Amino acid sequence: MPDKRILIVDDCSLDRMVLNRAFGKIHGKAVSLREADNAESAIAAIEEDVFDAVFLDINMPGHNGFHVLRSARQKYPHTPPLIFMYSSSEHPDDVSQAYDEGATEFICKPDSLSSIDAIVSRCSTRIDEMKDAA
Amino acid sequence: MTAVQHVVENQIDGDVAKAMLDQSPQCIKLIDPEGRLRFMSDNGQRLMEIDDFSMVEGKIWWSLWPEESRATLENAVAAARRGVSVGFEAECPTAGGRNKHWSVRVSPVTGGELDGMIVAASEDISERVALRQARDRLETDNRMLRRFGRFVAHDLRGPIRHHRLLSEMIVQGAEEGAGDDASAGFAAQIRESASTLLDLLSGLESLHRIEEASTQDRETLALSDVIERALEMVARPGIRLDARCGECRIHANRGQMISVFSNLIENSRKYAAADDLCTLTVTASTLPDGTLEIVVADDGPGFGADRIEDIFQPLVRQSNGVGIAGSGLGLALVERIVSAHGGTVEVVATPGAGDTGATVRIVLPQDREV
Repeated sequence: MPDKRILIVDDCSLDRMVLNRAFGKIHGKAVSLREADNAESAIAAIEEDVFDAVFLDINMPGHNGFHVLRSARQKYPHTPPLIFMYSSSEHPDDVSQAYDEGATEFICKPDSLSSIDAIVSRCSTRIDEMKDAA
Repeated sequence: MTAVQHVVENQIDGDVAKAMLDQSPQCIKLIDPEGRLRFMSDNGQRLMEIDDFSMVEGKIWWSLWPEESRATLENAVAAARRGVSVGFEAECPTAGGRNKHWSVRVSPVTGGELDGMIVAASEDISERVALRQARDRLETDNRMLRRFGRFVAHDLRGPIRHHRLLSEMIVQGAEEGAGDDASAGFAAQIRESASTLLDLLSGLESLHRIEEASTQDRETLALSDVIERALEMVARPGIRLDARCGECRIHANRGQMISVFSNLIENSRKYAAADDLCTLTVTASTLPDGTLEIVVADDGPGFGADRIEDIFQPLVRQSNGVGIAGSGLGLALVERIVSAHGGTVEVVATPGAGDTGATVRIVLPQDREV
C-alpha cells in the first residue's frame, strides 16, 4: 500500500503533470496520485477515496477550488486531509479566504522545477508529521 | 414671533417673502396651473444667468428645458396640480449656455391668494454631480486595475511560467539522456501556450486601438458579406449559420465589424455542448428610426441574469458553470467596436442556464457616416 495518497486538482494539465512528476521522482511507488481537472471530479474523488493531501487550484471553470475545500472539510470535519491551495496568483483576498476556510497552506505556483521539488518535499514532511501525531 | 410664524399668521407679506427668497441659494419659481412661469427669485435669475425675466415670463416652464427632460417636468407639474410634491434631478443649460445639473422639487401651493399655483425650487448640484461622476470614474478605473492585476497574475504569468517549466524539463531530459519524444511533446506545449499568450496580447492591443482605428477606413459594407467573412475567420467545424440580412448595408470599419461577428460566432461555438452542432441565426431589420437592428441568436446555454451586469467589461471571465472560461476580452471588444461606430449592443438574459439560447442585439446606424 502506498505510503502517501495525494489528489491533484487543477484544470491545467501541465500543472498537474509537473506536480505528478515531482512526486513520482521523489517518492517513486510509495505515493499514490489521483488527478481531477475540475471541482466536481475532485469532490467525487474525495467521496470515493481517502487522501493524505490535496493540491487544489483556485481558479477553475465552473466551481472554484474553495468549493472543493468546503466539501472536503464537510466530509472530514475531524480529520480533513492536508489541503494546499495551489494558485497562480497570490491575491490577498484569496490568501485570506483560504486560511479562513481551513486550508493548510496557500502556495503560489512556482516557476521552477527545483521549487516544485521543494514544495513536494515540504508536503511529504507535513504528511509524515500528521501521521506521527495521529 | 419667528419669521415662519409671521408668514403663517400674516400670509406672505411682500417684503418678508422677498427677504426670505433672497436668503435661499436656490432658483425659486412660481408656476401657474397651466405650467407658465410667473415668477423667479433674484438668486434664481442669477443662477440661470437671466438678465431680464420678462424674456421668459409666461413661457411654459418645461419648454425652457432640453427635450429629454420635458416629460419629467410636465409630469411633476401635473403631480403638483393633484396636490403631490415631487423631486427629480435633471440637466439644463443656463441662458448663458453653461450646462448645469439641478435638483428640483415641485410642490403645490395650498390656501391663500396663491392657492393652485405651483412652486419649483431648483438647486444647482453641478459640482456635486461632477464629483459623483469623478468618483464613479475612479471606481470603474480601480475595478479595471484590479481585474488587470488578476489578468496579469493568472493569464499572462501562467503561460510564461509554463514556458519556463517546460524548458527546464527539456534541459533536464537532455542532461539525463532521455528520449527526444518527451522533449518534442514539451516543445509542442510551449508552442501552444505561446500562441494562447499571443492571442491574449493581440486582444488587449485591439481593445486599446479601437477608438483610433474605427474612425478611419470606414466603407459601405454589405452585412451578409461581413458575416460570411466572420464565419470563415472562425474556421471551426460544427457551426451552422443562418443569416437573414437581405440587402442591409452598414458604414463601418471592415476589419472591426468582421471581428464583432467572429467573436460572437466563436462565443456561441465555445459554449455549445462539446459534441453538438452549434446553430446560429443572424437577423437584420430596419427599425422605425432608420437604424439597423441585428439580432444574433444561438441554441446554446444562454446568458444567466447573474452574468449580465459586467458582461461587456474587459477581463471579466464568463463561465457557463460546465467548464468553459474565456479570455474575458471577446465581448468587451464587441461592445467597444459597436460603440465606436455609434451603435449599441445588449445581451438578453435568460431565466437560467438551460437550452433557451444566447441572444445578442446590436443596433447600428445604417449606411451613413456616423
